[in-house]
Amino acid sequence: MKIAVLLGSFDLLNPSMLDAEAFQHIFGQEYQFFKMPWATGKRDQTYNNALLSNEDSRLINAAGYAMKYDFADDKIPLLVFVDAQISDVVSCLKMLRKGANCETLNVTLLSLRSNTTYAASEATKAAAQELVTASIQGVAFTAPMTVTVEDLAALDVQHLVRKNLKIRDISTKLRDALERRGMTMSPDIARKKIMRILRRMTEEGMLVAKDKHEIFADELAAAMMQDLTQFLEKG
Amino acid sequence: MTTLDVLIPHYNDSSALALSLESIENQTWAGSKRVIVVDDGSERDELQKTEQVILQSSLNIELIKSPENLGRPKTRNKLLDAADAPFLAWLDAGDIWYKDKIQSQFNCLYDLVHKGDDVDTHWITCNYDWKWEGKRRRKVDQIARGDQLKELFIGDKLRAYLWTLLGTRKSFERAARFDERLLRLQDLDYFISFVRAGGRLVTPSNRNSLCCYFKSDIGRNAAEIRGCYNTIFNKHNAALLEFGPTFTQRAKSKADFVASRFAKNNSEHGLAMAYKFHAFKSDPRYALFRLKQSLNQG
Repeated sequence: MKIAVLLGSFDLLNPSMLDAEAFQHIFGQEYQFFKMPWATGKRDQTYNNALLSNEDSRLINAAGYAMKYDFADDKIPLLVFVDAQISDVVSCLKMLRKGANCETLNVTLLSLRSNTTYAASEATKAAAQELVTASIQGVAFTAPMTVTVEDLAALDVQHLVRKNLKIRDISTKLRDALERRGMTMSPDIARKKIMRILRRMTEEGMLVAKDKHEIFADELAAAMMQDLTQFLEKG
Repeated sequence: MTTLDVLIPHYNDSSALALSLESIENQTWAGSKRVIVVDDGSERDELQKTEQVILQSSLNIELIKSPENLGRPKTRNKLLDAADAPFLAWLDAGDIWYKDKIQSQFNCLYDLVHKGDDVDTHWITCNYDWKWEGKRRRKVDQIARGDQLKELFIGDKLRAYLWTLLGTRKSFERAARFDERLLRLQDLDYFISFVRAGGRLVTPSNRNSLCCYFKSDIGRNAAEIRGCYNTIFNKHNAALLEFGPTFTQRAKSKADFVASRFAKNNSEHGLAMAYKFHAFKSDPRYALFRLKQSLNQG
């Protein structure tokens, strides 16, 4: 079974900039970010650090099982570990192999390199090299693959800019719609709310069309007002 | 390696098969799957159309042709013999899965592994829509709590429909084979055998309807249905007796109600009344409850 592992420090692997979509954009469609929507309490975690905890060995076992069966033949599950101890990654890989019940777990190590976060990039590279040299029975490493991005902040500019513009546009429209109904909301809260809703919708495979931002914001404002009315009536 | 085999029996209804295949194509689950269709001796024209439907589909489909019409239980056993993927799911030609069905059920399996349960002793069922011709879809909840054997015999809270299921191949081996004496209700016997062999049904955390059953009683013989119930009650008599004589009477009363519905839907009104009368005789309290329920549902 093939999997891919991306290691790095928080400076580099910052969830606010790098989400599942961004990873696919950087490393290609072949790599698909591994999520665990079935694991109670872990479904909202951005990366896979939950698999490094020694407290829940069954979770890693189940993850190995899920990786084996949940992916198309031409897709490779991508695990992202932030600020991980190599010893934890080693035990995680051993358990994943057991969970997947496969003879050999073929691991492609991925690294990100960015000129703007040089120290973090070097640490990522060093962690990948340390892992390759670790001898784990039943786990084979392929040569690490490093992808260099000119400027991490500008990473996938189109993708991030588009996403941020969308959030800004819908949150402004939401504030307008609420104002028309006699309620005000701070820009920061509106932005966070929209960010959360859009993330949930993306997970469910839904998108708000560009020309429907206004309708969406209006419906959302109506629903929020209804919730508020019900809350006040109950109270 | 194929992860999931989807098993479909088919007879003389290529357009219904096309509908089912489309719903498999639309699944969000990305693992590798194969569809096995056993054609149960369809007429030549229909078989040709079926081959066309299969050719036009983007799915990986294996068509197995029976030279003659063998009936549903034998066809289902043929499907079991042909399957070799680690997971199996069933669908009848004409019924459909909603796009999240298989992913939701796989998530439930992963959750079982996470909890340390043995996946080979579990079947994942799901809530579904029940659609009679000319009526709106009605959501039916599968309730997996409580004594599942008891609930299966009565069939009010937990119903035996194969097309709701996903499970490991090993879990299906637990229920052995379809009873070839049962031209109808072989699902019910299969479910009861599974639970009696230590199996358990579970439902995914996604409580939405995950598939739709397009229901029709037309052309189905009420006496045959009632006869199949008798075969099942005799076969699993030891299990029935454990629940006591009152429960046995209730199960028989329910069987009469189902037979009555089939008779009514096939315009055999006299027979329908006779079954209803019999149901009242077997368990008047349950019969009254059913009557009240059907009046409430209109």
